[in-house]
Amino acid sequence: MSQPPFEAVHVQKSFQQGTSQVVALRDVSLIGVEAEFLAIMGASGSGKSTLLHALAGLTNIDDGVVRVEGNDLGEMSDARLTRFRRERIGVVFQAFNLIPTLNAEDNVRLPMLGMEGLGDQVGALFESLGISNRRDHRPDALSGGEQQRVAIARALVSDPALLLLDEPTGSLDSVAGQALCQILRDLSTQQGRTVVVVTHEPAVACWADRVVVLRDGLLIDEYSTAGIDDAETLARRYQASLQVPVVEGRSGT
Amino acid sequence: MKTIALLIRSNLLSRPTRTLLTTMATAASVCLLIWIVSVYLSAIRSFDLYASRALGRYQLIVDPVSRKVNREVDPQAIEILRARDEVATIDPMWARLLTVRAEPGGASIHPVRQNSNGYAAEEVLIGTDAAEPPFDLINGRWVDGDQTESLEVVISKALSELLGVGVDDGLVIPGPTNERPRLEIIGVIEPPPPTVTGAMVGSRMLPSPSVGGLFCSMRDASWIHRTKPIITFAGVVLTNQADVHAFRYELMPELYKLDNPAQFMTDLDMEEEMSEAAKAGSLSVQAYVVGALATLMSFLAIYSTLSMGVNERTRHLALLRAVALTKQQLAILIAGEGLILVGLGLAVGVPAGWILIRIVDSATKGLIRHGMDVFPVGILISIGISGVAALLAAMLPAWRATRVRPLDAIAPQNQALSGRHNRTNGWLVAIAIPLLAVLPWMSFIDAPGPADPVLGRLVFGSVALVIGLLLLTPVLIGIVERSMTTPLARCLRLPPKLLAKQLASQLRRTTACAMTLSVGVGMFAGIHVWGQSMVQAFIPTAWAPDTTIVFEQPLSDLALRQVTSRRDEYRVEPLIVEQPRLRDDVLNSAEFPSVTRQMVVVLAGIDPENAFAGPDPFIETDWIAGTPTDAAIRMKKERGCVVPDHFLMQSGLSVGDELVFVPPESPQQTRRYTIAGAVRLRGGQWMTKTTDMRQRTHRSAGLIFADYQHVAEDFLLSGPRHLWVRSGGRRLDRNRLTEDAKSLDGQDVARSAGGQLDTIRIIPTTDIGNQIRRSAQFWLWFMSIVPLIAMAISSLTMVNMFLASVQARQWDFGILRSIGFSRSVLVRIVIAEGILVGVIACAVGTLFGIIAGWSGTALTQATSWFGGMRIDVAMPLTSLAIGNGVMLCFAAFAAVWPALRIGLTSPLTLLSQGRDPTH
Repeated sequence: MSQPPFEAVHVQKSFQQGTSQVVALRDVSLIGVEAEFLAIMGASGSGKSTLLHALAGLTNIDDGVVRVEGNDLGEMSDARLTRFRRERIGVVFQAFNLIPTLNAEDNVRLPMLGMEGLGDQVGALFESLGISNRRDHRPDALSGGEQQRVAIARALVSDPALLLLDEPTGSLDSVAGQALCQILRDLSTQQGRTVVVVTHEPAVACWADRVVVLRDGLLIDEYSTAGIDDAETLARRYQASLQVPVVEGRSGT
Repeated sequence: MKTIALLIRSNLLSRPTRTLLTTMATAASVCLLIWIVSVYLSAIRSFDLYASRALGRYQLIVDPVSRKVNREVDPQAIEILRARDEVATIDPMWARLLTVRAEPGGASIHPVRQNSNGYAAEEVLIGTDAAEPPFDLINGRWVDGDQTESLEVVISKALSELLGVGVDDGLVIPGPTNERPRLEIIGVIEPPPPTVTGAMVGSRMLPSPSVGGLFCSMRDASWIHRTKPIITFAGVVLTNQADVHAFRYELMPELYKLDNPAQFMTDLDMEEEMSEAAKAGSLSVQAYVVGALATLMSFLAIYSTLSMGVNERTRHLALLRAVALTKQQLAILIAGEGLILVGLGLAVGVPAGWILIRIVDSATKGLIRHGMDVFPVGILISIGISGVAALLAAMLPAWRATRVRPLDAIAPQNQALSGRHNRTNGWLVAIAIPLLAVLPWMSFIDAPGPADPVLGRLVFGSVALVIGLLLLTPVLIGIVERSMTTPLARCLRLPPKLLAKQLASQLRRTTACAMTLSVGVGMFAGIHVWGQSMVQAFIPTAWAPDTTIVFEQPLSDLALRQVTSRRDEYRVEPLIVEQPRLRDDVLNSAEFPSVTRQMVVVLAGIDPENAFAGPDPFIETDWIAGTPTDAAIRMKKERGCVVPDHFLMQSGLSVGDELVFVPPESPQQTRRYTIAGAVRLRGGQWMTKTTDMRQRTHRSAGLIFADYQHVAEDFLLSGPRHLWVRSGGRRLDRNRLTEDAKSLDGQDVARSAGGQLDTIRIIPTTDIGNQIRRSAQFWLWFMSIVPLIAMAISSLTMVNMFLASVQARQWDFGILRSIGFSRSVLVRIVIAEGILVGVIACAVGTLFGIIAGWSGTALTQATSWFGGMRIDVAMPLTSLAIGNGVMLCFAAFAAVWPALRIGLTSPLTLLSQGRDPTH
């Protein structure tokens, strides 16, 4: 039986903020499905980004297990985790994704620079993302949408199974944001990649196959978007989720 | 590695200005490093070149094993060697210092040159009955030991050039004896040019004919020195068939068995001895200090660039961690940047250093007479040291880079603020002050003895001092900001609040910048505080006469009576001076010779009543032991003497103890004097040196006063050659004084030489002080070149830091521009910040210089030749003002470029770039 692209099991995470302890994730469990486009929604401070960072191995969790393709990230050394992330996980942040001193192509090649024979692959990525004419441009010469596409290209260059994006449209206008969502949708549908997007925008989440909702570190709801045709409907569904009384220890499937 | 190489390249190219400035600073440091390494290696090579020619025609030198004063070769050794078939020639030689003076107005066929010592030069006279000269004869003939008509000497080419004399010219020996000998120059030979350390090896003379400036027969040398000749060393020429090494090792045990054991020395032994000598050691210490400074400047330039890079690129480093690189790879990235920077510095600095040395070598042939070169090993050393400096400089930034977490890529940029600094200031001061006290404690309270190692104390104390100042710098930043921001803002017509807290809000950067700048000014201040304090010990103070009149020949009784009769016009005291040897080495000069630890003293006979007693003594000074009245009585009645304070302290003797002098003219009849008191005679050493009181040797443990009559009788002196004159506050008319002195000289009918009126020397004490000051100033400013270069290099680093600083604040500047402040205001703000950083650097550096310079005077006492005198710390305010002024100018100029860069940028650009200050 094949391993799920990712799974988070009873994940706990808290931070020290000043003198108080803030619990970011409370016993969150979530299993990814292959070729699924998953949206994680929640208000600011709900723990959605922390969950994404835990899935990427960017932060150490206090309790629980995070596995990607069956590999327990908590068991890995820093160097092995870095290599694993470079090869099997693509990460895209809201902003500051690119190294300003490198051009777009070098930024894309960054995770795989030690490897030869990426010429066609990189070219195809630029082509598929609609930025083939921007390969030699430095980040400061690219628009916000173009920068995010370059960041996605970089996330994809190592052909990862899992693509994690933290508010990828947060600094884009609506047109660029929707174009980006189309790309992500295609990556999932056409390339069979598992795409996880953290967002608080229903217009982004409605492109997903499934939505999970976090509030105060708890996973309070999850549902399929089948039957939800537009952002407005999804927004209503999302608001309804937030009204549901919190049940401690609830985990997703 | 390819990824890392690409990132290094792209980062350095993305900041060409910073890379260029760092390269320039590193190149300047490398240049300095190559310079000092080359000078040192050239000097060491000169030992080799000198030693290879030092023996002249001889293959071996016979040298006494004993290192004690007045050591000599056992005559039996000469006999043993003469009896051997392998020995073709053995020439005993007697080397002893002698002061000679070119005879002015003599039969000179060359223009007689006046050097810094007048027409006089102190040279080694070698007495030898060798049949052939040891070196090539370039003019005239070699000495003939059989001729008795005149005193003939052959001189070295160097002495010939120094005094401007040659064959058929004459030399005279200044001195008290009535029969002033004239030496006829009959030839000129060419020994190897001296090395930077001269003919001395530590406290002893190198046993080779190359040390000689004058050569004459043994008989003439004995006559000149008025003592029985000794064999200082002997040159050996072997027959062609003899094997030098076999001969040496065969004879060695035999020479060792003698009562006064002797040894063979070859050119290799000479070279080894020179390399290990104290002056060579001092040279290596200077090389280490300058090398360390150059390395430090290179370190600081690279460290500041890498550190700024890590600060600015936290997000990018975090992103690299998130998507590609491990911690170790980030560390390699930073270290690689450091190595590339130093590589660029070497690429520029090595050729620049080579060109510099070529220029200096051709411009100043006399600096190192055997020539100066850039040695491959010197370049390798420079590359090695620079590489290590770069790696060390990269360590902390690399460690900080590894501490960057992947999630810092999305974290808000750190805003450096200093709320807690005020709370920690008290702790910083509490820790810093004891650290600042470590070096003075080790120098003064727990002062090292002559045999104690000093380097460890110096390093430990200096490191503590630097750490103390580093901790104190944030406090100084606060003080300078509070006290100087408002007045400076007013001067530059800026709203004071725009300047307030700018430096404290970037505490780490300001501290790093101030510490970097303070290196040069600290060294500068240290050199001047130390140097001026040391110099003060040589400058005669109020105890000394206003003027000294020196006659070539002793005054007759008639003239002396005339001197006495003029006492109501000037106050005049005749001095009768001899330079006897101490029978016992009470100052332990054999173990630790120094300027005040010698076997010979200057003994000045003076009227004790006039000199010390009464309400208005001629010599008014502080008494360390005894009282003026008692001392005067004991001088008169009991052959008492008054010694300088350092003499009493170093000898461990006290009032009532006895000193036994050996008169030069009658060595068998020793003279006993009792210490009647000790006085402070600051500058007494130089006073005796410059007023011709050291007639027999240039060494003297100090100036000792005794009763005039006793000295005259005991040392067979006919009359005084020195008159000390006081004008009682009136301005001395030098012309009149000269005329008076000439009239005394003219009436002295008893003198045999007579009539050399132009040889009367009128020496105002202020001239002595001024001469010392001038000479000291020259050397202090010469030594200050390196700190000034360090200031210039550090200002390049400051430009870098300020560029980074203004770049990080582009948003703030954009806001200021958008709300109506002009370009000029922004420019003035940045320049004002530069001046404030300069002030902080001056404060830190000057504090370092004062503490280090002050402590240095004490450590010098323990280690150097100049040890032994009482040294009070002097504050060279003018020099400090100049050093600090230069530093402030550098700091202000360093801020101009960043200021203009910000001032010339449009508000919109500032705001847009300010959103992400890494752009």
